[in-house]
Amino acid sequence: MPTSTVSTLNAPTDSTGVAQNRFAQPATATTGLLALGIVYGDLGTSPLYTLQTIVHFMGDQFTPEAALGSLSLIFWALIITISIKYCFFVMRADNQGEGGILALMTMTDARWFGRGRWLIIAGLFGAALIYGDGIITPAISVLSAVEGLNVATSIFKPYTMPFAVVILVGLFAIQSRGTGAVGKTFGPVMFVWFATIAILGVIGIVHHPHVLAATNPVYGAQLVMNHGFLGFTVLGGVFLALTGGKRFTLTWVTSGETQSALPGIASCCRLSSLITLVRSVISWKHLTWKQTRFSNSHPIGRFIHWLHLQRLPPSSPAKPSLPVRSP
Amino acid sequence: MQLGWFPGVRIRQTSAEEYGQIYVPFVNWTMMAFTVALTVGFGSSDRLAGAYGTAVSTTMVLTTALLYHVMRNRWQWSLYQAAAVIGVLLAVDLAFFSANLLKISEGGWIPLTFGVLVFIIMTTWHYGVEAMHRRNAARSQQPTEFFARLRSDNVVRVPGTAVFLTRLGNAIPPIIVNYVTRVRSLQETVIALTVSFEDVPRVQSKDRVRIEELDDGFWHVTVHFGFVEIPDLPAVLTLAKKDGVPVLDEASYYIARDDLSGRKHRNPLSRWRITLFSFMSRNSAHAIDRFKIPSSALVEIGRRIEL
Repeated sequence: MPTSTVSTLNAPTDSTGVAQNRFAQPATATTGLLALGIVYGDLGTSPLYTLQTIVHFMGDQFTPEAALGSLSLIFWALIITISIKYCFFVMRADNQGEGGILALMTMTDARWFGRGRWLIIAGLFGAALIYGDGIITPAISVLSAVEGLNVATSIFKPYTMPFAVVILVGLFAIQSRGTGAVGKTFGPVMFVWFATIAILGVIGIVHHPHVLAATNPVYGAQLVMNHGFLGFTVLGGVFLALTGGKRFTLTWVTSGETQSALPGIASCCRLSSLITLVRSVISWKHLTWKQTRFSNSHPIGRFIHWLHLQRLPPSSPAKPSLPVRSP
Repeated sequence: MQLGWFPGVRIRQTSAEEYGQIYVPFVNWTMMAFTVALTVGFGSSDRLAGAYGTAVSTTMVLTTALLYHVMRNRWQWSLYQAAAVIGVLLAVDLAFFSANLLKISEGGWIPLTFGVLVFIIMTTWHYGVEAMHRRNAARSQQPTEFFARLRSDNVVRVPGTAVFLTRLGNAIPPIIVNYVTRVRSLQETVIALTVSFEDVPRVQSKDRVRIEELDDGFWHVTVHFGFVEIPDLPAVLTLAKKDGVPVLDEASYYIARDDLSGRKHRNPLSRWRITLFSFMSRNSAHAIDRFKIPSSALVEIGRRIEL
């Protein structure tokens, strides 16, 4: 976070320029897991609501072609924005171990009182806005995870929101033990989660290899072109898959864990492409299910219902079997 | 840590091993309050998804703009190179940005408003701190000039040790200049003490203090602390004594406490900003509160600063 550690006015700061000894830590499996919990946690939870929102937007226009199209849009949005823009360019803009928009701002050598004030405004406003969506991220992630419980049993339904509030308060309380502690707790959980969706993804690919067609950007372009204004609205849903990428735009993450845990930009890109692939594959499972069950009564309602099954967190004991093939 | 963009908030280092893992209770609890309010207000993830993304999509456009500047001016890319890459990125960013604009009425205004508030806080803080630094700089005195004045005005050196907490740069800070002007005397041993926090958890004892004698009985001591260490200033003086600074046991510590007031500004906007800044300044955590200064030996010198 771009908060200064001490009151800048009252704390005498270093004016003499001492050697700044940063920690050079070897990348280990533990630190990698730590980073997974901190950095990629966000990236991993957005499939929980991205597709659901697209379906919600499109209503009965959500045809199999539209599904393939949105898949293609998600895939390319992730490749261009996360893998190319953030992993390749923005994280390359390394300002003494800090990355992200504030590092970019510093690298422009602009001054508030002086040359290039608009660059400072752009950087600060951009950083400030991250806090804006930052207040939604925990709320939406926890809510959608808790809503998943309603599928297994309706006992909790009236308590969805209070239950989510309790979990949120708990999570923020744990924060007081430090991001390291949070990473240690959630790193393994996220690892299981990523492993689960990866395995499901591979199974999905094996059953329906033609999902890989979604890597063709034409499908995405068609979705936007053929649906006019609706196609444009869908982009707002597709963007939800990218919101996790904002982690790369904040400074505090890149300063510590990412650097030590991931021995370079390459691995970061590889991981994000992997997530991209995995995510698109999961989406394909929704698609096939939809194709086979579309003729049923209330298909959209059932589809969304089924989506809820997908959203159970990996730790949930009540995970139902997944209808990979047509029943 | 980016300096000077956020008011001092009470922080707690949560890890002794790694820099950057800090916990800011104020920020944490504020975020929690807003998050819980959103959860209660929206009630379901479907509706919340409508509000999500407007802020970050704006950040992504701004990031691309800054990236272009860095490519051109820092990495020395040619216009065509930079424009080609940025063109592609910007096309994607703008598509998402404009699609997200549609969500503003569905709740997208909430993260945007929150972002604007954070932005106002950051810029006001920076503006205020910068203005105060300028005022301080204007009232500082060059060392040669200052020491010449000590002699020409026959400023009396009284027995004792005075420690002034300052961020002594190239000039003698206003707190010392004012003290001498008003009291017309100075202790025999004067230490201008600068506390510096490093981004390591603990500083090795050989790197702890740096001592420099600027003039007869006038020392500049810089002390370095790691970010998990609680600055124990009396212990620092003991170290300084070993290195030859004639510190007496009953040293007094002088710190400046600034009280801000706005001059009659014609512009209501800047008057309002000054009010906000002085509010934040009064309520921000003072690093000095963490220092182990015996309270009986502490002298706070209040100052009114007009911005």
